[in-house]
Amino acid sequence: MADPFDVVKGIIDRHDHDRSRLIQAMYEIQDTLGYLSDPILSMLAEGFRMAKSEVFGIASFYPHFHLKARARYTIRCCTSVVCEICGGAGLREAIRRHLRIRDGETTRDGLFLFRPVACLGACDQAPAIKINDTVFGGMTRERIPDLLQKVARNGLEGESA
Amino acid sequence: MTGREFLLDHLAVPGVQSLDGYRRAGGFAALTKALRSLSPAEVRAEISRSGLRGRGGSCYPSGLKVEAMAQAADPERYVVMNGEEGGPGAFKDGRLLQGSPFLILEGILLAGFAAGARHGICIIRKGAKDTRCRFQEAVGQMTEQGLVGTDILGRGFAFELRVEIGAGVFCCGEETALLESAEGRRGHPRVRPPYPVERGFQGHPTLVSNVETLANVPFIIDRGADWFRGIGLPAEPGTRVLSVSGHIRHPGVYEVPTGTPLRRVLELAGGARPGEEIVAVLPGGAVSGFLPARDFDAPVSQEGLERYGTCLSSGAVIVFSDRCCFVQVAQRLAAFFEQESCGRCTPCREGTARLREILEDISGPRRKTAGEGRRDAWREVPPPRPFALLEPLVETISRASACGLGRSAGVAITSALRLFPDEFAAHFERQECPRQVCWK
Ligand SMILES: Cc1cc2nc3c(=O)[nH]c(=O)nc-3n(C[C@H](O)[C@H](O)[C@H](O)COP(=O)(O)O)c2cc1C
Ligand code: SF4
Ligand code: FES
Repeated sequence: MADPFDVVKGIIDRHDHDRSRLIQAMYEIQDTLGYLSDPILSMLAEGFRMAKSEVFGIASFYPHFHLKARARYTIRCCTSVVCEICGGAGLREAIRRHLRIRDGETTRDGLFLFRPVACLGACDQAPAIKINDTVFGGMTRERIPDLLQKVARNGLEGESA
Repeated sequence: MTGREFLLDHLAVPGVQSLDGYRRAGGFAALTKALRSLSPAEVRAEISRSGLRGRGGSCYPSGLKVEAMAQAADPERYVVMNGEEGGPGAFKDGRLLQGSPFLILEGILLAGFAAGARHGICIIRKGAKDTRCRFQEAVGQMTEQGLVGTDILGRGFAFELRVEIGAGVFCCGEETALLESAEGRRGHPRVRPPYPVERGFQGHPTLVSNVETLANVPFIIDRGADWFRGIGLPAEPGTRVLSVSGHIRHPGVYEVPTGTPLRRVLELAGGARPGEEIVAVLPGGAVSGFLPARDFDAPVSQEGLERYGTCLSSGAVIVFSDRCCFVQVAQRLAAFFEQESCGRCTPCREGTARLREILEDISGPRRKTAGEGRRDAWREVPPPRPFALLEPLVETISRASACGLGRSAGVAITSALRLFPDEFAAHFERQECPRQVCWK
């Protein structure tokens, strides 16, 4: 893989150092490198000619930015009202139990991060969870261990919602 | 009535997602018609005459917005598609974006032509990655075919389009917060006025429009305002695409003419699940008030639902059966607003947190011995705060907040207090859940 700093520089250049493109650039960097490290935030501040505190303020405002190395699979479990009335709490309990972690924690092997989040936009398939970019709707707590084992073993390929 | 009118019928045409398929389904006829034989003023007049109203929640007449844009002195104007859609129970915009990307893009082009804009920005929520890639591809194809660029269809109309990642936060669905976020800042709403049609994206006049609103535009131009006015109620013509979810047999997207009784929508969605009875719905998602079963004759329309003390907003119909504990539902709604508050106004930021805490004290995991809060079960549980705090708190939040999020945070909770006083009393006074839901 190319040197991460070249990647970041390339992306900043492509966005023409235009301040209004900052967030798009941050998403691109995160998609390629996984997360926004402290040195990357400094580079962004310099590249877009703004204070680093401001860049940090933006990075921490939006829930989709990761400021720390992230797990291979981020499990997002919806806690909003539709999933909740369809049994969302049970799913979360099953995930916690299976992975032996609490909300917002990463498993020790770095494989799974578990985050309770607001509506995933898959309310017609409530209760829903999302692993990276794949939605798994109509989940039951009984299916959680199987699903997580399968993902840990074979990845997300070939899985469908 | 089948739960499918012209929009969902269009989505059901096989292959309509591709450019060729869209053309075969009659796509770009409206754009061709507008560019060949109509002036921007005529397109504006057609939109105004159709009576189209915004589908993003405000229900503001779209014609007025386009006219206001055309009045602006600044020649650099923008059309922004609001594809942020983040409230619980709302997924119809996502379905439209996936179902027929070119329809929405044609709508943006027509809106741009009418408003004299040369730039279009499609903002699609962060979570919908596939849709966003699909849109990027679609814009590329349109550029290749001369449908986007400097000389569209050889008629000298110039328009450029770009696709951006939306924040994926509810408060960024508010139009000014959306623009802040598109300009690369934190998504805090701006003070209105000036409205975006005067000073929007980077200070230029901007037409922010909901996905469904834009999807209606090509049909209106192609088939004419009179055809559109013939559907639904005279005051709010057209159809509404509703996302129906919750305790219902077939959750999904349904389209009905305005004025259809809500009861009919629930029937189309299969009615109650076996062994359950529907007690109430939230017709407009988290920002609306509960509509009890006795009022299910209320029509699907903004004004009609306002008469019943609730609103249609963006049409996120959440159905609740007799299996729900409404205290727990209220608590989840409060938690949603707490999580999504942008944090600018103290009453909204702190108030929603207190609201959630008060409700959680009596319905949340901390009161249980099993389930979520097991780890803390040994801890001393503080006595619940008094019920009397709720109403003044809601009142304060709704009065002192700057944007629609704070203002609507208490709507559902107040209506739940009014509709289910016994249930709340049981929780607060006897600390028990009559339906045995939140104590399990
Ligand atoms: C808190 C809040 C969230 C909103 N979320 C959305 C949204 O997700 N999608 C949307 O189209 N409009 C949303 N709106 C409404 C927009 O501010 C704006 O009215 C709308 O995009 C205008 O488009 P329309 O005229 O086509 O309805 C929201 C408003 C508020 C106050
Ligand atoms: S009401 Fe809430 S969401 Fe709206 S600006 Fe204030 S803090 Fe932000
Ligand atoms: S409420 Fe859970 S996905 Fe929308």
